[in-house]
Amino acid sequence: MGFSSGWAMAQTEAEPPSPDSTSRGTYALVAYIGGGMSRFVGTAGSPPGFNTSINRNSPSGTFRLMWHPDHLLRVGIESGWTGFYKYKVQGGTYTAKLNHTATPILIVFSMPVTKRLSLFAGTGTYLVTSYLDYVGKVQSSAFSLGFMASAMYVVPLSERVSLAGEFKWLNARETKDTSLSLQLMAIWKLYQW
Amino acid sequence: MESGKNGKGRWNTAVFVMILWLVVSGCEPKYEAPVPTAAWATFDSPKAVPLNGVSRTFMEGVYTVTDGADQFGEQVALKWSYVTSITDTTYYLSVFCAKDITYFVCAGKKFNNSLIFNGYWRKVINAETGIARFTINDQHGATQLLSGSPQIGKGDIVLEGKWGNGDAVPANSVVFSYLRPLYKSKPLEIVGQRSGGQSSDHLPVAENSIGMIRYASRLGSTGIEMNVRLTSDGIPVLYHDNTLNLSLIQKNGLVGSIEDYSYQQINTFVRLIDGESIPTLNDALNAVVYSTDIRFVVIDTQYIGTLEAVRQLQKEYLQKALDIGRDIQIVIGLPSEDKVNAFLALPDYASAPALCELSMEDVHRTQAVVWGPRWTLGTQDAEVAQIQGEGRKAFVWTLDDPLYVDQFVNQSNFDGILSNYPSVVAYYHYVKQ
Repeated sequence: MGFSSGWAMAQTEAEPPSPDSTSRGTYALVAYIGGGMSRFVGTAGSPPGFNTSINRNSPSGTFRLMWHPDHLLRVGIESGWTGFYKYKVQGGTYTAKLNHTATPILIVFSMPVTKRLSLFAGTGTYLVTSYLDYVGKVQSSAFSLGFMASAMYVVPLSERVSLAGEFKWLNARETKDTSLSLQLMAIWKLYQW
Repeated sequence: MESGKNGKGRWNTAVFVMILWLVVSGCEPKYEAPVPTAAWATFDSPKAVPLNGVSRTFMEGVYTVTDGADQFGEQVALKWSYVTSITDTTYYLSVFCAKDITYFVCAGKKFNNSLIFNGYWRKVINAETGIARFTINDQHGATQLLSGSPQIGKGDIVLEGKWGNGDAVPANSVVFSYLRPLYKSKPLEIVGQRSGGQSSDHLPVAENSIGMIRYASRLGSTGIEMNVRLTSDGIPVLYHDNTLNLSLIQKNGLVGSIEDYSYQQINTFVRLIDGESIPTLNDALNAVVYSTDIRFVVIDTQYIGTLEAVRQLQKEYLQKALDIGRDIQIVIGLPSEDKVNAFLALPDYASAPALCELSMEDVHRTQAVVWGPRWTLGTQDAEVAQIQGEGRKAFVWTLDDPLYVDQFVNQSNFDGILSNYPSVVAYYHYVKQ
């Protein structure tokens, strides 16, 4: 099979091994970079007894580095940034603002299920950060165990570059933050051996 | 080659499905143990009136469980406690069981010639709970208890009761028959951690809250250990964990340490899991002195820094307790070397009561009134005798396993036990002979 058409095929099946039983197929290091919008679907905490307006929509971005071996299961690491929610509170003469965001740091597995559709699942930690502006400003962070799952539809543009749309579920378990995200991804095969 | 390729594909798919399952199974089951709704027409009728102090005192004791032992064990200990408010004092009857770390909390009234009790039971090892109701009729002790000077012996008081599950009307029989008085020969300080109990045990009130301070004696505590942190503006507040987290507080969007936030920010935004505000140490000591029968407090500082603010409040509330005739000990906990150093930096440390968890040498250095070693070091009979010979006390921590509680209560000479399950300590102490 020619190298130039091998990239699309590699999404769906392993490279056939050579007749020599000790040889392997092609390995590749693939980078995914993308961004889009996320919608917070969990319960957004807010202080009791106040008039609060909550914004659940935020931008989000992903960076992922995957190892594509010569079989279906791929593994890699993912990071990025997502806003979960922000709110504004009016109480008496005071206005308070809070912004609640996270940086995921995950180990991710993926598997192509059709020629262009791949599923991803991962676990790791989220660095969750809150930015409070109320009688002073405070930025504080905590780590939260978390998960991620997504489905990605890939459109190859060339031998090394593809575009993809990804629908993603992000869950920081300990802080009970969950969002759904739709992102446009650029995929670049960095290296192959 | 074809079957090898298919085998690889199946293996890959199986592994990926397992990973996906792990992600999905990250969803946590939610446990709750809400206090059952205990409305009882008889108990709530105008004819049911409060019990007097004599009735309450004389019915305290060790009881044999003649019906319901499979659920609550072979014997139980009954003890009254109280909380006060500005207008009222409310008395509660607690029943302490060894089996499954079970306890009952009931209120009691006189109804015609009987004594009636209404409340609930709870097994702390799980989330099982339900309504409990008891009656002492005139042939089984009510007449004696309502007289001015009861003479109570074995079998003279029988509490005939019913228990149920959740909010269901109780229908299962439980009977307690009086055996003997509670053990009172040598007092034991039963110190409930986290101001009485842990939020993770799904108790009716949050840990380290005013609610828990008022609830602690119903759990068997005669003393409590409070965990104290400082806000960014130096206000001591009660909070145990390093970070604001959803096992202790309701969700509010804030993360990180209490120390990152000012008291005003904490008080505005943060609510404990039962909806209460995080109390200041001032509020907490105020509640202990003026609202409860708690007689021992350990202030366990969770932060690194000066103990000045804590010391000032300790002095203030020791004086307040003295002024109203309350016999309370309030000690500063010294669990580590840096806490000892902070304590020794206090200009008046020599007159500041403390509980030192380190060596005997550190006890002498800090002039601590209580030595508090951990239970894993054993009963340490010789060391305990030495400390007591110096006029100090010896408390052991943290005893939670009923097996070891039984051992330490019956075989050691400690003056106090710190536990997350004070009801178990109360049981083994009060049933001693």
